[in-house]
Amino acid sequence: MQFRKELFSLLALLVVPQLCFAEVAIIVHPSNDISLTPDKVSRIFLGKDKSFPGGKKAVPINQKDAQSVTKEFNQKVIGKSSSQIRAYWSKIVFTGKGSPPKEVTSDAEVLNLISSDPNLIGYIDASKVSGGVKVIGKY
Amino acid sequence: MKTVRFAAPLLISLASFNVFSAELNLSGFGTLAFGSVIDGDGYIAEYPNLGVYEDDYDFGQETRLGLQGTAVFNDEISGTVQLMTRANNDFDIEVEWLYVTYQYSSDANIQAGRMRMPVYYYSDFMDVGFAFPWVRIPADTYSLDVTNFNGIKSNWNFSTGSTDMGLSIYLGKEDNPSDELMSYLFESFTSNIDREFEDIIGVVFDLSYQNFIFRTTFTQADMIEQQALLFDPFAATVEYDIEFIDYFFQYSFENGISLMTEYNEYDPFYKSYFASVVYQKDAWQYYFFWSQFDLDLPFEKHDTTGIGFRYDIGDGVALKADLSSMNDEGFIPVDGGPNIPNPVYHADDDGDGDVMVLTLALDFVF
Repeated sequence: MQFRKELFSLLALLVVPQLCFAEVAIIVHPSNDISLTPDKVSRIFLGKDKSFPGGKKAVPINQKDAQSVTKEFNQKVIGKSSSQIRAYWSKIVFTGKGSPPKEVTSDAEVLNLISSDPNLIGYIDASKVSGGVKVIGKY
Repeated sequence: MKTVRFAAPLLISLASFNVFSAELNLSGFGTLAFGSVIDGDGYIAEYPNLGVYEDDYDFGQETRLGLQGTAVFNDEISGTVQLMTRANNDFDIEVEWLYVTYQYSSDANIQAGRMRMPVYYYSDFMDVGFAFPWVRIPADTYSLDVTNFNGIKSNWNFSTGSTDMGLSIYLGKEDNPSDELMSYLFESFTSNIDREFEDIIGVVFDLSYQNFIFRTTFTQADMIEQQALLFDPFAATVEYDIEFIDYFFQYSFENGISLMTEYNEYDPFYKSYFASVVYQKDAWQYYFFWSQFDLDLPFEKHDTTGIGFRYDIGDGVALKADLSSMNDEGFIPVDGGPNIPNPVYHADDDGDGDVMVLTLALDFVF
């Protein structure tokens, strides 16, 4: 049984990426008046930049690896696979140089957090965007 | 499949708890490694903790588990502890690191306590198999007997555009009573070697720009060595002024190929270096490496050529295989006679030291 379950998840891994064609929206608090290049977004999510242009503190909110929007974001914006990003963070964490962004489990949670904190930046499925946040890029 | 089942529940990323007012982040890493000598007598796979493969499938040389906890007291102060247990040290639980960090600005901090000696590029995460492509960091090159120190370290980061730079300066000392590696290497004339490293002072500079990484370190110290001589009732004390310098380069091409090389000189003892090519395609990485250890005196000289792969089974778990072949050229020079082979692995029957070893490993982080 266990083996079949593993096999199924392997198959799912192979099939799922082809099914995702949703756009990823990069979102911030409506009061945040910035524009960011994909490279800059990537640097914030990799912990290389800790502030927005202009100096305000930037705190990225990640979604769990299992979310399809996370795979889209990793591929299109960071340009790395989930396992490459995982290896990158294990290097940073175990050298005591930082910790990965806080992870949440749904687009709704990201929306909720970002609509109430001007320091946060996150990404969600572009079709889920609501009024409480500002979209600064779609990929 | 059993090991996968065991690892799967550990795939929670960082667990966070609140203890009093501090936030505690827990994370961990581990490696299950099975090595087998297919040709020859023995292979030293890990020098600092003396992991030596001598037989068929041996689980007890490079298998290890680490747990790291960081208590974040506020935006400025945190405390970190790393505990490790290694099969080749009888699974004793050891405090690998224990330090406090004072983050006095967003780009600078100072750390005090017990930390890794950051002499090599991979020093800080050399035990975290998941963070690199090979089964092991090329062993000939990562052979320094001292890996941690007690002291202080000051770190600064600078960024201009997409160039990131870091500078660290560290000061401290380390005692290595009954130095396991040295006592093994020199067992023909000593029953025990104690080493003390005093007045350690070192500097690290690293730079990354797009797909390019460069890192260099320089360290000096006074080393006091106490040898318990087998043929002499008195212990001999020898003092050395040591200097260690290291260079590392890496370039990653867009097509998935990465090249990395590292070179170091440990004055007045040896030079060692390695080069590797890694090709990544989806969840697979394939690698080739060559590494060499070259003592200034003829007694120890060996190089290893290896191939292998890494397959990422899931987020946080990787399966690896490695086939390494070591060539041993160390010898004892004899005036007017033929030189006597002096392989680094001592119980070598034919004396040529050459060995081939196959290793399978499962690396995970949680």
